[in-house]
Amino acid sequence: MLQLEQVELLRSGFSLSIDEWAAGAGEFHALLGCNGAGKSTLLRLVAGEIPYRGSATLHGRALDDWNLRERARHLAVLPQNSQLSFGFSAEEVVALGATPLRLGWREQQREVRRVMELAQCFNLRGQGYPRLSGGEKQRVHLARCLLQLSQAEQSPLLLLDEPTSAQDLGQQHTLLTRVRDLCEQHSYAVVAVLHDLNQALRYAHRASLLDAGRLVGEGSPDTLLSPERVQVYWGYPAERVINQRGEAVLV
Amino acid sequence: MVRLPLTTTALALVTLLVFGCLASMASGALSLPLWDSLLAVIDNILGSSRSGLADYERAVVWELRLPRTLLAVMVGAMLAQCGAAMQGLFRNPLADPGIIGVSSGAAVGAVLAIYFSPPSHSWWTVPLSSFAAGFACSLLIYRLARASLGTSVLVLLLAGIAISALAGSLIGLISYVADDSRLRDLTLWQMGSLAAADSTRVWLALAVTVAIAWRFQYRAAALNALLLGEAEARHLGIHVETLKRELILLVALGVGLSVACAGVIGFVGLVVPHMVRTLSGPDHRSLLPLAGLGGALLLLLADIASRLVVQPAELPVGLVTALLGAPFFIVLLLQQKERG
Repeated sequence: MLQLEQVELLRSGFSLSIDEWAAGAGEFHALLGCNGAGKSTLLRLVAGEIPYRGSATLHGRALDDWNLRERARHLAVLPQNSQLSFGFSAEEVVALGATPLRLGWREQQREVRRVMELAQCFNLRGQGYPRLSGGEKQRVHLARCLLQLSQAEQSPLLLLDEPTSAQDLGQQHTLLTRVRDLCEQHSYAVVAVLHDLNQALRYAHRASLLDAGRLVGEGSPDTLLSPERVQVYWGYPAERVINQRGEAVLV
Repeated sequence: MVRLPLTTTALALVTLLVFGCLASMASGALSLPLWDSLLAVIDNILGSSRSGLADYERAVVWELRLPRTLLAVMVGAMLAQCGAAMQGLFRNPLADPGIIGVSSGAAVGAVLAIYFSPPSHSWWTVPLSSFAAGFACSLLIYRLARASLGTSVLVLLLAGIAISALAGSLIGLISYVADDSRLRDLTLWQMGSLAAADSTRVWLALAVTVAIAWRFQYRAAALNALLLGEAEARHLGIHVETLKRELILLVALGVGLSVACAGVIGFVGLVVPHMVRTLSGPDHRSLLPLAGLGGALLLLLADIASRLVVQPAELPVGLVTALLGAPFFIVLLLQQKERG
């Protein structure tokens, strides 16, 4: 559903050039690579934040051809951290996700409740957003993105930029499991920049490896993340172990 | 989070505003009964004679105090709404319309008009000149702050500071070379006063107040989204550049016109939105109209105070709002520091 062909960055100073790349509905797609490889740049390009040359289409229509509101109903971005400093309650922050939608007041209340329960943050609804912890804020924003995508006519695309950077182990697990469920049960397409390779192994369906602005590998995380590749692209002598559940882990 | 229900806040503000208007028409060097001053207005509209006031008392109410009251209400509402919108645009509760340079630009325009125009100049020379200068100034600042990828808030703020400094020195220069009678004009005008209220200014202010209040309300939901950040607002389907341009133009219009009608009146745009936010939350859909009511009330009360404190003379109302607002600003700064 998301397809990039012959895409190049227009901005000087950093090069990103992708010959062909795609992310499909129902798929959790991890973007991997060392710092400066172009993962976040690729994500921001898809989010419409940087100008590019070439063809990038969502559901067969060029990203730039979408009406901004309509695109917002199909493509949401979960921010790494948010600058919101005014005293909104968690519930009000989630309701901001209704900006591109047309919802009546009652309907919006119902939807806000539904997505907050889905993102496991309904218990925070009355609390002041600025006082929440990093992990709680992240869940609130996930609920906001879910609300934003709740009226998509086709499979929605959710972009995550290092979604777990401010969270402890338990919160990371909850968030990524939730995101994977969205793919499997609600046919979301998720593209996430991940730093932790074991997260990619455990949660992602597919992964792409970037290096110096180019795509150097794509496939299931299991086959993509060989110890040799980790040595070449991260310079880290990794060892592959199979844990008790039969899953591959890099140590 | 403790908040007052919206309807309670709105009702309280409207009630206070009505009483404020009555008090404003009754108080001053010539003190009149509340009820009679209201009847005097009704008499003048209907051509009846219900009030027990003498003719000169009715004339004071109808020709001096009613326009002054209405102008205070509208200028206060415009300043407070512009303040709320600016704080949303800059995502900073400390922002004030003065920051983008409209106030100082408008002041330069007025000072130039006072200094260069012949003694018999028309009433609209100063207002028009201050409004045009304020408008041009904010456009210039916006141009300066425009980077290749959208408007940078930091650059906008810095450009505002630089232009304000330049405007300050220009005003200082003109004040230095002005003769005594003009100097008094300049100083009084810079401190802000509603004493020049007349029906022309009232109608002009009414038209602009209604227009910008309507546009702000239309943009309130988008302003909420903008609080998340510019990139996030764009992801939520908002044309951020168009929104910012419109907001800056509306603020330039509102502040430029209020400066033109009543001189430089500071801190209303800072204090009122902040208090409303504390009372009933930061959602712009309710914040903007409530701030309008609150600003009208605050300026009305400040104007009444300015007429009563040094009777039979008057204090410039800008001095009163600055006396109230400056300590408030310092408290806000300290709070921000504590929060880190």
